[in-house]
Amino acid sequence: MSSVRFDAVDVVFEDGHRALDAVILHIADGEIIALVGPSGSGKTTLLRSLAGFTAPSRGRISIDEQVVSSSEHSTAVEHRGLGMVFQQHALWPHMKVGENIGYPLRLAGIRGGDRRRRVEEALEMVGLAGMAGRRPDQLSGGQRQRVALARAIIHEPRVLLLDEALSALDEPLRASLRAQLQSMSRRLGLTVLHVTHDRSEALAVADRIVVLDQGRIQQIGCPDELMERPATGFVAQFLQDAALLHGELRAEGFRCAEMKLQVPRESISQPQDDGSAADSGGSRAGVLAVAPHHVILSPAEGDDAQGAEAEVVSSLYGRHAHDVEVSWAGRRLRGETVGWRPAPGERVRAEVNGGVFFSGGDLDEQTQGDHDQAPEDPQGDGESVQVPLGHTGGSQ
Amino acid sequence: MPSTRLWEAERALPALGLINAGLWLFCLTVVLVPLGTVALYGLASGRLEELAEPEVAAAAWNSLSSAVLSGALAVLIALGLVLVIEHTRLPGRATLRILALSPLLIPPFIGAISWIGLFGPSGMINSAAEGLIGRPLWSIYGGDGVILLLALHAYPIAYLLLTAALARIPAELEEAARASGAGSRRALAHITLPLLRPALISSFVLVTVSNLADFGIPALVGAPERYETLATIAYRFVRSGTVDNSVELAACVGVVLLLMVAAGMLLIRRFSRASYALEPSVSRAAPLALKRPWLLGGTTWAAVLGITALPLSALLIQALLPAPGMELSWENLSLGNFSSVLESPWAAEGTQLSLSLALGAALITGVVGLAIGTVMTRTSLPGRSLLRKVSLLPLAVPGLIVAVGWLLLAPHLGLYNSPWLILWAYVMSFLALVVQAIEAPLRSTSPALEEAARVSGASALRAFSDVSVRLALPAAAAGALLVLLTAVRELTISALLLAPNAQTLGVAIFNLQQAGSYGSAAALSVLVTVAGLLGMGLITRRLHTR
Repeated sequence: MSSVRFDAVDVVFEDGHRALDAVILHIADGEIIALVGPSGSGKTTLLRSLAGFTAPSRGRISIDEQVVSSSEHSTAVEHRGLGMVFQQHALWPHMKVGENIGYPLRLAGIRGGDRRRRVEEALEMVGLAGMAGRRPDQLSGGQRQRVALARAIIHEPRVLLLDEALSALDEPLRASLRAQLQSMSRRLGLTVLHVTHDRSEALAVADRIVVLDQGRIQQIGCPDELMERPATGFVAQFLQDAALLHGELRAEGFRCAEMKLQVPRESISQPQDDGSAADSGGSRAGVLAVAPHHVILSPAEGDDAQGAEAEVVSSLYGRHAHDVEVSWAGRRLRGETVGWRPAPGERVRAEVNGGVFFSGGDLDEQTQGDHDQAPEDPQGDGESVQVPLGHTGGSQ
Repeated sequence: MPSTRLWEAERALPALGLINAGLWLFCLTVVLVPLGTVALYGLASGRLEELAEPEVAAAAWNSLSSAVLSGALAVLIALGLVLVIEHTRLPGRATLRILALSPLLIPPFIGAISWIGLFGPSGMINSAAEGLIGRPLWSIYGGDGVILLLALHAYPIAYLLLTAALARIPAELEEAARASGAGSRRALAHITLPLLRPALISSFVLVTVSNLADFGIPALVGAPERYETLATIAYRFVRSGTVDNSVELAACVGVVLLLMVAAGMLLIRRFSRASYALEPSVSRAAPLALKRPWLLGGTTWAAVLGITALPLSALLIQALLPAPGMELSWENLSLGNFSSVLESPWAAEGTQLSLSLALGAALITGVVGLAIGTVMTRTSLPGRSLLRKVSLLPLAVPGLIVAVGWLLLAPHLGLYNSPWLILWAYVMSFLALVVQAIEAPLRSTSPALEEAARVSGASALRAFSDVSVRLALPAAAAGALLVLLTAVRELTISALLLAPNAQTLGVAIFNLQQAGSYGSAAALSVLVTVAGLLGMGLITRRLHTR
């Protein structure tokens, strides 16, 4: 129930690694913020520096306009008024469930019937009424994590910190706890900082999402903003599995010379759309981020092999659309098909009907390279390996 | 998964069955027969009531009380050091840790000689105190000295156990307490210490049991004040001719000790089962933040140096001074003690006997331990877990009982007063060291390694020798080296089993000290300690460079 500010926060570790780089972030009272990014992007460091387990080397962190971390001063963790849930529940095995949950109250000097009543309430809120007498090792994984959640909220923390809190759980359980978490935070008006590597979880739960890469904030926005107007190629790549194509944007559209690709101008959006440069008729070099739903695949009809220059590398079943990866003019692209599912090795017709354009060649080649290596085409490889194995097995 | 073990289908393999039978025979004769003999003689001789004499009862009480008090003291010392060294960001922690563990490498009787050099009647600190305050500060002789020395000798074991237990506590548990509003001290008191409790209790029991029957410390430090324990009284019975059939009486003492040890072992089993199930930690343990690191750091450094380096330097000075109590000055220092020790015929004999006995013991335990270790971890031969227990049993059996067992067997074997007796007693005592050394690395390698060899075309026996035995070889060699180093400095067994005119290194030092030749005893101790430290360094280097 508090606001949080990060003012130009740097965290540099002893080995010289810069884990956070000039992070500026304002979290409003009662807001649910998700932190996403690849591993090593600094999201856990950001959370731990708000908690006070990590000290910033520069900049200030404040809760409710009161500085808790700066280079001169650091409020001790226990005086920041936080609640925290860890990936591995971190329940104390030598305490019963009720003692675990009541511990923050015990430290706050609340005792007797008052404490018991509030523990019961918290247990009820997470759906574990009457379990106060159990030992943590008598609970299932999901129950333990709910106890950890009850422990984190019982003393009405100013900020609730979730460090991959749902990541250790199995899928159906995770979804239900995710929903419970969101409705509970809303009801209690909690300010929540939720670190996760699961992109869909971040999009599902959060009011705003912070995308981090290499210690820098790439974009902050609500789910719609991030999906429709990614600020950088990295964000598009990370959140939507977009492919990044180098080319030129002209008045009539985007052209990628090596792929003989043409995308009409009106279906291309630009995050930094000032409307001047492109409409003045000049051409700009840049990168087009193409998300799978912009890659339209269609069967090559008859012997019309002319337009079918993409070869299917892998084809994974999906409930709403099948996830098909194609190799097209030496590039790997992910697309979606509905109604038909091509087989690996099949040649299909491919076109791109939209994308987000980022001008300038400033997109580092590294992220581009990362994506080129990324496709693992499990199905394609699996097929080609399984055949010879099956043969030798049969002949023995 | 034992059901997937390689040997399941090949239980009938004759070669392996033969090895198994041989190992059982070996363990029966070398471990169980001597133990059984002690129990049999002790119980069947009908002389247990002779133990009711007041001096024996007093010795039993002394054994028990000194073991319990030293156990508690050792655990307290270890806990303090572990929290400061392993749970903070103190500067120089790595060096502190090595120093704090160094008493592990020094035999207890040499430790006792060092401390006598400080707090003996003519020890350095007492002499200095006499000059300053007109009376000695504190005499180490007597029960309090025994308790202190037992604790100072044993705390490194507790240190290792507590460090391992601390490392198993996930960092998140303390962090969760901090986030709940606990300061770092309360997090320590409410979370970490309760979680360490099982390890505290089991290390207390372990240290207590191993201190119950220590011989060197009470013999050197307690005896001058007539403070006797079961170990020293049994030694007196065996050595003196005044009691008739003295070995039988020693066996009775041995039975009492065995019962105490067995009770302790039962306690350990009970408490090791009571430990908490902890998830594997995701992050490293968060060290405590220190408000005044230099204060705590300075105190810790002073304490650790005081209990490790100080007595050893006293030992060195004692070795360099021609007579104890002489003033410490450059002119007075000489290598006279060293040269007289090195030139004396008994030192050469002692070294030769100790070295050959230790080499023999290392060789036998190395080979047999390798066989037991591999059979028990890599096969599914029947009875292998029992074989393991039998081979590890002597870990808990005090050297005194081992020696009495072989003394009782000697007339039946025709080995009276022979070095062979000592060799077999060493093998019984130290076999477990090799088995333990092999067990850990072999257990952590997957049985799939042998299965891969079988799939590649190796026969069962070939896969066993090419994979399992080869994997275990370096550990067996390291274990055998450890046996060599331990046996070379052994005191209790040798003291009881030696022929009256023979010497091992440990007994030579012990006799010199008892005869009052402090300088020579110290010089020989220094030589043995330095050689031991070099050897230990060699082992750890070997293990690390692999």
